Amino acid sequence: MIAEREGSSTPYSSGTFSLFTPGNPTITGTTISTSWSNNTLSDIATGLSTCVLKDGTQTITANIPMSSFKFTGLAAGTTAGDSIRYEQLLPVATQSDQETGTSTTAPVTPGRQQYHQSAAKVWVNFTNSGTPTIVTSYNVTSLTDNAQGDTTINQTVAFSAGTYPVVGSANDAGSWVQTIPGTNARVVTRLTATNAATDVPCSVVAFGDL
Amino acid sequence: MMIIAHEMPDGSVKRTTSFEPTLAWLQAGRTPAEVEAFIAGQLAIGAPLGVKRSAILLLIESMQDTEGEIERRVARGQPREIAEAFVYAWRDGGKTQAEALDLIAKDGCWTAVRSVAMENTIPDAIATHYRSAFKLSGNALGWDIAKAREAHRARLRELRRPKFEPLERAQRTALATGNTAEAQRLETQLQALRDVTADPRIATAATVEELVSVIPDALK
Repeated sequence: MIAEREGSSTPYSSGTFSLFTPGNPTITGTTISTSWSNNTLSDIATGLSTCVLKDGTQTITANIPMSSFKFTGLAAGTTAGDSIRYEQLLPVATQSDQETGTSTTAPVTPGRQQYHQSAAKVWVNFTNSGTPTIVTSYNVTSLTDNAQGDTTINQTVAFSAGTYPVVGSANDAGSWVQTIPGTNARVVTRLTATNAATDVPCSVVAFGDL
Repeated sequence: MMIIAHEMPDGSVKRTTSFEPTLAWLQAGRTPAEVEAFIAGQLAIGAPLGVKRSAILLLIESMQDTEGEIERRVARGQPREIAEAFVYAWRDGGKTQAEALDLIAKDGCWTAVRSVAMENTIPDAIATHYRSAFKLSGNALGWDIAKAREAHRARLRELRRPKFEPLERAQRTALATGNTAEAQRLETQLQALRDVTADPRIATAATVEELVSVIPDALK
């Protein structure tokens, strides 16, 4: 319920236009006075000046609550700051899009980023003083301790082929890492001086198609 | 730490380690929202989770394509029944600890003759040099003493390797300067190094613990 205004300069309350009072509404026998006429017409002028005009000559001065309604019949946006039509929204990249890696238009979401060929598919940092133990990892379910310094990284999602590159780094001076590509990455850590397999902490990263 | 020891067709033993997050997952069968809470809870109590939140979320994503993942595993040689069992269990969870450990064992080393889950009771300091001599005795991890002796000899060779070069260099200098007495003394030391793998205590040691203590004086 909108209360009637009395002498206010604002003809709106919560977006509803209300006529100036006293004098409105008019009844039979009412004498037209200058105050009634001027105030009423002034309010109407103010009301029209705050409306959205269809010819675009008005400038919006605040956010417009759409109350779940849509703008329809939009022209397609063409420059920065334009509104866009629904069909202008780009479909987000799927796993397949990421694996193919050729689209230059599909936006990438965090849940799909890792499927691109350039993204690491496996990484693990593990200690090894006799028993290889994961410190932190990605896409790894467990380690298999094959022999001294020889560890297979059991991937939750294995590579689709055993030809993808594996990169390893010993977290210890005086050692190096022999990497063995496979559907599950494998590494052998070795002493630099003798090449003998040895247990040292190791970091491994691998790239490829899952 | 719990491990799974795998007896391989050639009698050697491999171990699967660091499978705690996998075990938890196979037992849990959680929704993504529950997984979030699960990870937070595990981290809050300092659990040794070797995983990141993003990794778990990748697993959720991957396991939505269970049929594709099974085919990928089969294509790389894993028996279909093992691939199906692991992937479906990974997706659905709800396994007992024994069932989950069995799945991890088969997935981690499916060529094994048999696999046994157990607490890791062998100190790393020993395991690092002698695990080529592991043997499954019943359901316990024990030693093949003959292989352990070879492992010990290999360890002694590694220990003596850096000691040879300075002695040989000193011996050449002694010979070049005509100091035959010094050259002979050094030759005695070199021969002692060559003989470390023939220490009779190696052949008579009955346990790995005894072997570990057999360090000839030439290496001390």
